[in-house]
Amino acid sequence: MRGDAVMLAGSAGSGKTTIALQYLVNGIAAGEPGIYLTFEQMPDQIYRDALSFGWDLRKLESEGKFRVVCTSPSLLIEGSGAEELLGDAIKDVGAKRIVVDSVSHLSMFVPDGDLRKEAYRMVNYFKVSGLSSLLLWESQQEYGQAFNVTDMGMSFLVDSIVLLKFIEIESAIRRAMVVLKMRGSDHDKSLREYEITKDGVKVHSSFKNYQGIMTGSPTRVAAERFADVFREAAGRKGK
Amino acid sequence: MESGNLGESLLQNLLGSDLKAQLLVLFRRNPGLIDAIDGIAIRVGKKKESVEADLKDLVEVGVVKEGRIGGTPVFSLDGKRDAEVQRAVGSYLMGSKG
Repeated sequence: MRGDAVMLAGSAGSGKTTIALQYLVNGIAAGEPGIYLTFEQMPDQIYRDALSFGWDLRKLESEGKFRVVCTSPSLLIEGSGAEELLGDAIKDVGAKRIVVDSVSHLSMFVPDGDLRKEAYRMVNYFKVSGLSSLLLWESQQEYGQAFNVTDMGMSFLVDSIVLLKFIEIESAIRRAMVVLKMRGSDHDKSLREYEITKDGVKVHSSFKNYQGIMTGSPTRVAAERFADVFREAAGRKGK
Repeated sequence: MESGNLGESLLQNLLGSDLKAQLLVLFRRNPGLIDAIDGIAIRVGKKKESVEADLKDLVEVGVVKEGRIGGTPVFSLDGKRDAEVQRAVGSYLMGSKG
């Protein structure tokens, strides 16, 4: 919803940046200009990555619909840093959406125990400025363990949390996403497969007939395994 | 100053050191960069002390502008001045060819 803060968590290579860029490009197409705030990745790399999906960010920037702001996390948390860094850009492009890449990087520059306060301050600044925000979080991909969002201590300040995860099915790595939280909504709780195509991210239907997907190593449900046995047996008879 | 002289002096200043050229490329390729001196130094793989003088030179030429966030000095590309510098250097180079 407009003005909401969404956290997108996933490990390296899960497609967080692609989804974030797609979120901004789609916003611009819908009349909502956007800002990409990056700490680590340089803007010229972001322009290049986006162009490989056909999104010409430099052109959008020259049209006044988009802006990349690249800075150090320490500046964002200094005094009224968010306003001083982003105020002009928000006004210039009439921004309605913002991506922060990444809150996990910001956390490295904030003294222990202060991350919640600083992230809360930042999210509130976005809200009062009328911005919907997408906050990226680089999480560890730990096979055999489900993701525990409360470990981050951040869940209370965002309205929604989407988790991206690599899973192994039949010796192949596939990608899954799930909405862990959506404030005030009975949201879809199924794990959906997604793929990164030349046009961006495409979300598919949910994984059926598998259990334990959150562990990263799902197994087929018992009924499916029985069905496999019968299918195999039928196949042998047919030969 | 005539644009030829201006172009020549700017060119000499800008090409005075490899690091200055690296900093100029960094700001030109990333016009959205606004950072403190430590952050800029990290982005060109150097220590703060080694970029200080060259960064100040770029501020003097005007292609980089200095501002403040809280109490910290920050640096970013001055797009308008950079375009003027590019024009002056360009016309000097074209003139010196002939």
